[in-house]
Amino acid sequence: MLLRKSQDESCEHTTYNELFRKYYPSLLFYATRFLSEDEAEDVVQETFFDLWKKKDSIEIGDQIQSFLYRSVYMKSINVLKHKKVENNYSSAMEELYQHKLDNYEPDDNTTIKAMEAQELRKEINSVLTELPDKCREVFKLSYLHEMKNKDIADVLDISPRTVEAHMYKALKFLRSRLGHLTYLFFTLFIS
Amino acid sequence: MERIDDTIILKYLQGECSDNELQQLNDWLRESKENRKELFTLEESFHLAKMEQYAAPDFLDKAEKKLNNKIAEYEKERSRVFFMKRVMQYAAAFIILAVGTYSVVHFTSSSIEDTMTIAYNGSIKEFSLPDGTKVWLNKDAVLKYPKKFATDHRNVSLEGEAYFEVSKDKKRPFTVATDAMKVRVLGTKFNVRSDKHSSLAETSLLEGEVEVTGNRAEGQIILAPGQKAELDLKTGRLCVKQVNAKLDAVWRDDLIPFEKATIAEIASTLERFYNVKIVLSADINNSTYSGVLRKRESIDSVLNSLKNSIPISYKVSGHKIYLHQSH
Repeated sequence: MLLRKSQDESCEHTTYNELFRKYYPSLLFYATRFLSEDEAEDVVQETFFDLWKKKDSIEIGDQIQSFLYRSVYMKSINVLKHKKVENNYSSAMEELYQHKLDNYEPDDNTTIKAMEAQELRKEINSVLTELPDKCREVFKLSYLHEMKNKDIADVLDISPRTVEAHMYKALKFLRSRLGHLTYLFFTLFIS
Repeated sequence: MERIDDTIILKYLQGECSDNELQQLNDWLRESKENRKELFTLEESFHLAKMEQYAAPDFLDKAEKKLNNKIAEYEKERSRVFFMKRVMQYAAAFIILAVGTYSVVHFTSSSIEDTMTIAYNGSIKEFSLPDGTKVWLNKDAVLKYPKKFATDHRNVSLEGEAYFEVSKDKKRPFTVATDAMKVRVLGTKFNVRSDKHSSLAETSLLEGEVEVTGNRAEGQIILAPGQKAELDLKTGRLCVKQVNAKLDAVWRDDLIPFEKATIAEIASTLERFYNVKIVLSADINNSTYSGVLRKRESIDSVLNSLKNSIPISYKVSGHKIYLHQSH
């Protein structure tokens, strides 16, 4: 489908790079489910690099998507194993990662579809825009910049309690709307 | 637990859960797939803005450049390895080619291309080999030798009879190979006879030293001047005989010299030279004669002139010549 074997090197490159640009964002997002952004970037880069090395030996068609997700998933598990030992994860932390890994198992055919589902993203994004301005701002600083409540309070010159209140509000809103979205998600992809 | 406390979820999303809180979260996650889906979808939503970042052209360009650099480096290394492999292949091919060429040149030099063949062409002729060695070929003899001798040996092969006067060269032994024997010399005068149809192969030495080796492990003999090595191909016996070696080599000259030769010796020389059978009568004495016989067209004319000097008479009967003592 995407990577055709070609005598023309530049053509091959183009197809390969198109593939990269198409899948890189969602794969990186997928990898950040388990890893830090830096680790995730390395994993996805490695995955595409592997694909390049194998370009002559594997015929890539529609399976390219699952190949990429599977590769990212397996590499992430390896990184996690390292981190687990290095950072001496607690059993609770370990269990949580296991739940996560199960949830994002790439062979579960909803996983990749969900990751690639632009509609769902748009839905969630629109839910976020529905948040009141201050609430959205607080929430955004938290998730986008990974700021602590105390720092958000400093930046916005509001009290930490106010930050907390905004966060709760945002979360409640999201949870209520996500129930609907999750339902939508299942009807979209399980059928 | 139908619903989990928002505080824990919020703490989880912000990465601030204590171990105890994580345990509570796990308990809830363990309950159902839906719970897990909810938490992780919530987490995704929380991080969703990241997707926009990841899909931003600038961000993609940077990542793409990083990957392309990695690939370029890999391809460079691979082409280097490939180049080295190619170099090795070419080197191997060159070595094979070189060895092959050398072999071909080397072997053809001793077999086809650079091998000279000289054969008896009706008259006995003196040939000079590239090293200055003189060779006289007898009737039906064929000598093969390289156009250029090697640096450490001089090998020739012979069929039939030939007389050699080998140029002295201690560093390059001269070897005459025949079907029956090998004669190895340093520099000397000798006669080799190895006829295909004869069961007797022989080498007579006039000067110097030769080493005679039977080709079928019959042994090895070093001859002194005046000695003849005779190899009986039937019995496999290699023996040395004291001979008038000069007589064995007379065929090469127009003049046949005799030095204190008995009539029997003269007769056997003539036998060989003219390829006839001479039968000596019992009354032939053992007197020796010295002198020179001029070669003639036929044995008849030779004997005719010989009987003028030596008291013999002869009678030709078919292929046999009967020699008597004349009184």
